[in-house]
Amino acid sequence: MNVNLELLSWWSDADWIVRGVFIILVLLSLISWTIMLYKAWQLHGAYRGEIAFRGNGRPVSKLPSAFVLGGLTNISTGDRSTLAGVLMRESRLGMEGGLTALATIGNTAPFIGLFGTVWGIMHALQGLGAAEALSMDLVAGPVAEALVATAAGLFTAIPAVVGYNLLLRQLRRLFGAVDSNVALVLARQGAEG
Amino acid sequence: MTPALHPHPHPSTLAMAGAMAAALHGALLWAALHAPLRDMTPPMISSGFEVVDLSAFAPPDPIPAPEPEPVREPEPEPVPEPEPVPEQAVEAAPRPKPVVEPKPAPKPRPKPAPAPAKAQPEAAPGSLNAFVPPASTAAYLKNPKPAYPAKAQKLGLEGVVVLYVEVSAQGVPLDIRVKTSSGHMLLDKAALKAVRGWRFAPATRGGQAVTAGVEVPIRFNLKDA
Repeated sequence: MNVNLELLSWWSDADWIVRGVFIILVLLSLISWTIMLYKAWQLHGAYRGEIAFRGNGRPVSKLPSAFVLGGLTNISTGDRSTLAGVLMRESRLGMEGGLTALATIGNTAPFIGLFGTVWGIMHALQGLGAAEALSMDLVAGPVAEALVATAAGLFTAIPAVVGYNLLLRQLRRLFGAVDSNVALVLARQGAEG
Repeated sequence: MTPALHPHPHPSTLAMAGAMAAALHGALLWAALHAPLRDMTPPMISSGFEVVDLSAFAPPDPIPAPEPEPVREPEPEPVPEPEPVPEQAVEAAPRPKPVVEPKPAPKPRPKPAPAPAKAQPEAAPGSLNAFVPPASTAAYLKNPKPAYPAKAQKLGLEGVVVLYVEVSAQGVPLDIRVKTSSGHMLLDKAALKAVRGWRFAPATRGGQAVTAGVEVPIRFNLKDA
């Protein structure tokens, strides 16, 4: 196994602040990918369920429209449409869970990485002041090492931001379907009664 | 009566998503660790180049030393180049000329004669200030040959790069500069890269290892490639 020693030597050269920043960013990246995969699965499944439901029969119990329509039983016809709107909003807030965390990771990860880089460069320059012989290698090495933190920050942030936007679009699409399904059911009930 | 809203995720699905994310990161880390090393390996070992120890004929003007007398070329080793000796004699001769004739000058310079280089090595090792410049040629240092960049070979670039290397007392190059460019950035860079990984026999003054500069000429020659 020929392991790329550049990375390993980077790790052993970095000081603990830079290493901590790197670890935090890797953890944030793990969290954001977990949220993205889970939410994509969840929203996609709910959307498919809503499309299959389309106001016919009873919705599968986990769907947002099941939550909304379940809340409308034993409510007088006049109040139903306003209550439907409120329940829909509540359901949407529930389905949004995790997106805030994703947005936060996407926004803050570059700054965390930048902090690590600034710290690393600061120390490189302090070391430079102490050294009696100036040389390019004294500057270039630590600066290149410090920039790994920025790269890690961007590596974490970019998928999180892209994933956030895609999930937001999935959520809007889902609740478009929920909206029309609930309206459809209410209209049919109105026609019956 | 209302069906429960599901803000809380399914544990099993969430665990699956987490495992997938972890697998993704693990694969990336593995790929990063096993990525082919970027131009760390010299592509053409047999390429033509030659390291000449310039310190034998070009005075390496060693370091800011407090001593007034620059003792030069104690390098006794025979250099395969034919030209250095005459060049050095010419260079050394004009210098002492104005000093010699009038009287025993108060100059600390011990040798009034323009005798070039030969007289010094025997005097130097004994004296306290004997200065031996850094050397990169010692066999035990195992310095890798600079790679002849494939692109330079294709373009037919040749030339001699003279690097000025500041060698620490530990024999590590502290600072490397291109003193005389070969005229091609490619070759200069290849030489810099190679020498950066070299180890030197540190310069010594009176037996003590000191930081000193040395010129390292590196010749890229297609004919030998």
